[in-house]
Amino acid sequence: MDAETTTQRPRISRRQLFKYGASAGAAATVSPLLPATTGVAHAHGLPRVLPAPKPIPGGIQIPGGPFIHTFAPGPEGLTLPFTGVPLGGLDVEPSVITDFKGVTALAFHVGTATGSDARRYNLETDLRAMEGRYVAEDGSRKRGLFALI
Amino acid sequence: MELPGDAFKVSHDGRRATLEAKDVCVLDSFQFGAPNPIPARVSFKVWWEATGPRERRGKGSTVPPTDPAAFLGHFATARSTGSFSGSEVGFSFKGRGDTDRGYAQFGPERNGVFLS
Repeated sequence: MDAETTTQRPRISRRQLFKYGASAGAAATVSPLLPATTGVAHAHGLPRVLPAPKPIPGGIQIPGGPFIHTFAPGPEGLTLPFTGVPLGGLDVEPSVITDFKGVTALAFHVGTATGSDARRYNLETDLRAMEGRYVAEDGSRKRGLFALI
Repeated sequence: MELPGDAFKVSHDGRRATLEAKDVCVLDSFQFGAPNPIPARVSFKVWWEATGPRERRGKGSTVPPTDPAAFLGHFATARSTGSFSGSEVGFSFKGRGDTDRGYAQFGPERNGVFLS
């Protein structure tokens, strides 16, 4: 999730990253080899899945930055209003993990948020859920639910 | 991130889905690649409702594995709404959003070794 401030408060946004259709969550989710902006996370009180799934081999090279293993599916010609991310088309991989078979759900929400400072912020999300079977880093076959937020 | 299996639910007819998680631990570095991220927690509940039929997507193994179309899926375009909250030291927020100016889809897919 990504809330973009319209005030002088330090950003919650990762606008520059999203400009290239990438998502911080993706990097953090699927591989410790990837740079993490929103760090690796887990649901409260739950153990992490070991071994981890693998990132998709494709992705986007951020100029002057890391390679991000994620794409931005959606109708061509549609640009997200706050981050300016252009969606890449409907034949575009929504999952951020490879060797995966299951259900993927994706949503780019647009809305507003209210901060504890009583200010109003733009809110834009890149939220994905991937539930199903996958081949993990060590070659074992697992089943799990992963999310990119 | 890993979530408990019951956090994501799809209706029997495959036309609706929900994803819900509370107090998910993340590290927020504010700007991509910035040093010194700080701990934060986020909670969210998201609903998807299909607005169209499932359509075949992707080109499978007919394209290189690095190609954006290197998958096979049957996705339905959807409308999604969500409520979100987050907190970290000194700041928290609550918000809502929908995909009326964004985009949503869901459905089964496979990639990688599951294409063969």
